[in-house]
Amino acid sequence: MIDTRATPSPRPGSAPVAARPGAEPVAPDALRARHARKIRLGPAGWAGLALLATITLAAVFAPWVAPYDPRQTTGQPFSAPSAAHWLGTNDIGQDILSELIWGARVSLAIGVLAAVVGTALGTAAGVLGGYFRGRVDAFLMRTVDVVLVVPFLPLMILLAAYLGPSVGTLALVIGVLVWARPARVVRSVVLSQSARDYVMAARALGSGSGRILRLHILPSVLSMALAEFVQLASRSILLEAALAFLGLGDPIQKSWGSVLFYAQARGAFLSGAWVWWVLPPGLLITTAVLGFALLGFDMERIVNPRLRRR
Amino acid sequence: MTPQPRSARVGALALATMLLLAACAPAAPSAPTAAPAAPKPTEAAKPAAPAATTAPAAPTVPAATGIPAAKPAAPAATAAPAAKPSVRSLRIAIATDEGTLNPYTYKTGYPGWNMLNLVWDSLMQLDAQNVPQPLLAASVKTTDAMTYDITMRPGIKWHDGKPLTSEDVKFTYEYFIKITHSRFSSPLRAIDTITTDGPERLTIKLKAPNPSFPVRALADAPIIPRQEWDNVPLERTKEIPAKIGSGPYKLIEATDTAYRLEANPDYFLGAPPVGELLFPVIKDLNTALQALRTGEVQAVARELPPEQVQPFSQAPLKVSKGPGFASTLLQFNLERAPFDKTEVRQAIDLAIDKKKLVDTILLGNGTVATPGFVHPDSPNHDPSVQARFDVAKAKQLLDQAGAVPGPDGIRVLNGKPMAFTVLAQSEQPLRIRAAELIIGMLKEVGIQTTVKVLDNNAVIDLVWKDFDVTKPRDYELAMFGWSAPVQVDPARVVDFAHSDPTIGTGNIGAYKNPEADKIGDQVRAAVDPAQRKQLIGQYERILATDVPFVMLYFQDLAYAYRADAYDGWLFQKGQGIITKLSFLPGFGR
Repeated sequence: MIDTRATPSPRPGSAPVAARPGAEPVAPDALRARHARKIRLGPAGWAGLALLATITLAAVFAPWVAPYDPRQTTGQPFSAPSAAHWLGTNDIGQDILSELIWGARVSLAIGVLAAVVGTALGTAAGVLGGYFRGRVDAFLMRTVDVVLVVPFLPLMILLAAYLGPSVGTLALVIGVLVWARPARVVRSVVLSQSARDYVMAARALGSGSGRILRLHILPSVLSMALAEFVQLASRSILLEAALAFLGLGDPIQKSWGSVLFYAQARGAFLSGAWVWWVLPPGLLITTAVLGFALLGFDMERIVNPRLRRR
Repeated sequence: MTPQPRSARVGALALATMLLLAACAPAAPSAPTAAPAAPKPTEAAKPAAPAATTAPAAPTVPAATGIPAAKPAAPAATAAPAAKPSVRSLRIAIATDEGTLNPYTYKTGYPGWNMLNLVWDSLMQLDAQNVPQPLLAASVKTTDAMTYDITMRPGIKWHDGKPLTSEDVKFTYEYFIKITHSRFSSPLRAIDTITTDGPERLTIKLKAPNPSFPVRALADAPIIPRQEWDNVPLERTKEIPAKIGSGPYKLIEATDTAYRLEANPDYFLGAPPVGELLFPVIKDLNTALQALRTGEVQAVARELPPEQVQPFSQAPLKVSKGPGFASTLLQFNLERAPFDKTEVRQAIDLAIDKKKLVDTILLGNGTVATPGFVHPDSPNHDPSVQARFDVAKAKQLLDQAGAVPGPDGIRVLNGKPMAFTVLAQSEQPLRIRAAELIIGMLKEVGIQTTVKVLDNNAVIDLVWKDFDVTKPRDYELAMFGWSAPVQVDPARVVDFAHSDPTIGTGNIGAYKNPEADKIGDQVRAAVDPAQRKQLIGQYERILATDVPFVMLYFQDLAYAYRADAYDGWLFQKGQGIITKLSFLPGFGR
């Protein structure tokens, strides 16, 4: 176990994992880090943002962008791509391109919602554990350990099957299962922050825990939480697609995963249909995940001084 | 326990490698040449054992097959015409293992029970039209559907050469009645006494007249040898190897990954046309179909999905198609308002275009169901009962019921908007798709529906808790279906609408109509076929009026095979092609 204790040890070698800001050097770096938040995104970040913006815009303006209503049967079932249907039609004659554009809404919504849930849980656990230490910390961190070792996909499949699929429950299920990483990262930041002089000073002046948490600790972890959020969003999108592909999502909801589910269920892999029925949703999932990942890496680089110096 | 799964894995690996190799091989067109590879899917650990059992069991024909099995000598196949089987070996992909293929271990009705039937015979055998024909029996006579006088075919022998007599039949039936947990136990309990009169004659007396007895029992229960099964207690039934039967094939090997059956040259109807049958287990349907395409298997036991019918109909592939008896329907919960109102149910029935469902979802590979539950191709179906679709009339009925469209177009009935939830099973993508189309159709008449997809167990829990209709139900509408055997026995239509839960064991919507019950009781008691047909027609017409459920469609069954390997397949109505009939050229066609 890597114990990220609050002692502001300047030894850089004490933290084996570079990405962990746990053994962060002292004040000057922290100051720089605070400045760093204002530093602009790098090219990777911009690229990620551009990818996401494209998909998000298409999703938001789906009613105008999509050529058809994806719920209507607008062509012969199993049609190959044509001028009328750029990506062909699915097994009941719905336009696949329209399905994908509308599906972006559900896929992105679940990704973002799950990330919100996961980040919120993780940040809360990290802040409370890191600040109060002792039993609270021990309890929360052991919980994190449990969540980390839980066989992830089987549990998620079980939960999804038990709770029944809907956008809300899926987001909740995914969120509840991905908060461990942000909890650890945030906790390590809080550990280092709460040993800082200004926090000590505030405490000496008689500030209550609530005030210190709100005014000093939370703002210092927010940027880190945001970076974690972006990472979680990309993971959640993948998980949603995986669940939907296995038929455990809501097959009535148009999402990229459910398009894949029907492609598999109706034999697209046996015929040539996978080219227009499986590849496009796959590429879209990849694009969204890549977008979030690029953005997340770049943000982490900015908020984590150890990475920025490279 | 560990060695077994390991061997299974080795087998699976061997199979996977085989498939891979086959996939890589540049289109070897002659499927029979693949035969020498056959022993591979079985365990590599003991290749000597099956070979040893092969030789003495069937001295003439398989000796010829035994030699090329050692070395891939394809020309041997052309020398075959002298020997009896016209096809040396066939490989048929199945989806799951079927235990040891004894009557207590097989798992699926199709193809498991049918594979079982290759090894064992029953007194009667359903023919292609599902009419029972005497098989082990030479004749089955009854005048009152209560006493059955049976004469056996003379000189029938078990695979080990011992004679099969009426004593074996008596023993088998009594055994299945005593040792339950088999599909044959319940129908056989109708038996009161069995008396034998010499080795070739027996008389079965039932407790009550039962015209379904030949279909449900005589043509269903395989006759097992007394010498092996005598005094086997329930716990040990699964251990009895399926070695000695009387059927056209002998079981040579049964593992988790493959079955090997060999022709019984002394079969009383003549040696079957295929010398050896191999059933490798291929779990994934797409993989199995791919293996068929590459010629690695020569038939696939699983249903071909409707969208693959066209691509798999190109030579040398062929598709054998026939009516399927598994129904798909939209079930009402009649305990929930407004589905207690007949007009509402009728209106929903009228609003749904079943033809469009068949054309869109099944690509035409299906039969539009008629509201009387009985399959339209059934000889008992009343042709006056027809599927309906009339949006205008549906709207009119809803208007009459007092359901007026609200501002959003959704009708309001007794102050409540007509918005309902339809349950569907996540394991059934076609039913989900059907539900999706039905949403649109019902919206046309002002009824809003949302589909809730749950896994099968969860749906059963809400619709048919513990498979007991007396338990409370908690749903409004559900996509549902009944499996094929239900349609084989025409009297079973009553099971789904009778208000007495001991009779209406499948009346999951709590439908209740005293008149229907009265006719239903008569249907169940009717002995004379003509009278029964007339009563079933009457029953159908009541269901068509009351609409306790909306009958949607029957999906056609389609099975793909390689015609260049074997083209003697026979489609048994409602079953498929992997049946005993496919290997009995002169029987039941």
